[in-house]
Amino acid sequence: MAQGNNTIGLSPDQAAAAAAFDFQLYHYDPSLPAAVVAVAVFAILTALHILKILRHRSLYFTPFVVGGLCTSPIPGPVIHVCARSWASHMLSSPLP
Amino acid sequence: MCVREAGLATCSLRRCPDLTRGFFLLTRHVGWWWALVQTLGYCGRIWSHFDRQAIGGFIVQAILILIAPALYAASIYMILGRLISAVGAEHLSPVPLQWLTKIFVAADVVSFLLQAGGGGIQAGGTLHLLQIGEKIIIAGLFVQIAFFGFFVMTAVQFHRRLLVHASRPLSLSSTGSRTTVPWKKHLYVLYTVSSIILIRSIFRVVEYLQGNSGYLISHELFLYIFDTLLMVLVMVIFLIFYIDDLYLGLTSERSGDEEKAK
Repeated sequence: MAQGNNTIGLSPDQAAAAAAFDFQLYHYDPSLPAAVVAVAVFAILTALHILKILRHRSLYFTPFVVGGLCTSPIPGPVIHVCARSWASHMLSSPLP
Repeated sequence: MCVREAGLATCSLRRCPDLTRGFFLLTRHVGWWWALVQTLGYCGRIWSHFDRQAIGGFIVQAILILIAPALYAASIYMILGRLISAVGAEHLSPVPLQWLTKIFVAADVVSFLLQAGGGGIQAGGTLHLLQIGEKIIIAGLFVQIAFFGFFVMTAVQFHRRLLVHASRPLSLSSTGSRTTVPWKKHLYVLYTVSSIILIRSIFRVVEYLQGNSGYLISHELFLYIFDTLLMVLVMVIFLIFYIDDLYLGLTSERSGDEEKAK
């Protein structure tokens, strides 16, 4: 079976159908630099929007803003770590 | 008793706006939240880079990047409603103002749920579910495109009526107090971001119609050109031209309400 065919949890029959259908999650290797740049740009935009709201002293949303400030830099590393642990897990198991 | 009254007074003024106001303020200040959804979406792509077979990373990036513009759309719809009332031109709205925001936001919620639900069904992981999910996502995108088109027509119609009305010697509203709002600038911002999101939605429909082995979905570059870049542009436009004076309209309305309450 070609690399990239997605046969998550399928019986042999279904797997055959999958091969015929040729469904793939990705037809390419998702680019790391592009995704990192996108994450960085959107994280910066998140921060800038938060700063703009703060500058206008919309105090109603201080909790949300604090939440946002705490959250936006964190998902990257967290998901990175998850991805790596998932990846190592996936080496031995077809389903997480 | 005194303490309780004082507490209530504070409450009614600033601390605890009622649900509607709270909801509006929430939507008015969601710019950062959209960006956060996108940030998380592209984190999913980082995940996918490290494990392109992992359905988790795929679903995170597919759903979050797909639905984020529906959130933008909801805010854009609300901004038009706010703009119309801030200018004091409710009588010029092509759709009665109390329905305008409701209709569009309801349609947007339907579109959002179809897209998110379709993505969720796809997460089921079987081929049958993947195909059903794909159809549901396409339906959601068509709902979005249809109502975005309808929305732009509504805005253009309002713009025309306002131009005719503004050329008359009398000011826009009976009080004339809110006409300082630069509504032309706001409308152009709305046209621009609406067009950008429309282009992106059309790209997505074509991508999904081509199916899983289609040309657009098979080439990563298209996603970054027609989705990432366009959505960054929308966020930057909102960062520069965020509609602040509508908030002034809101505060004057608020103080009016408070006076009425007195």
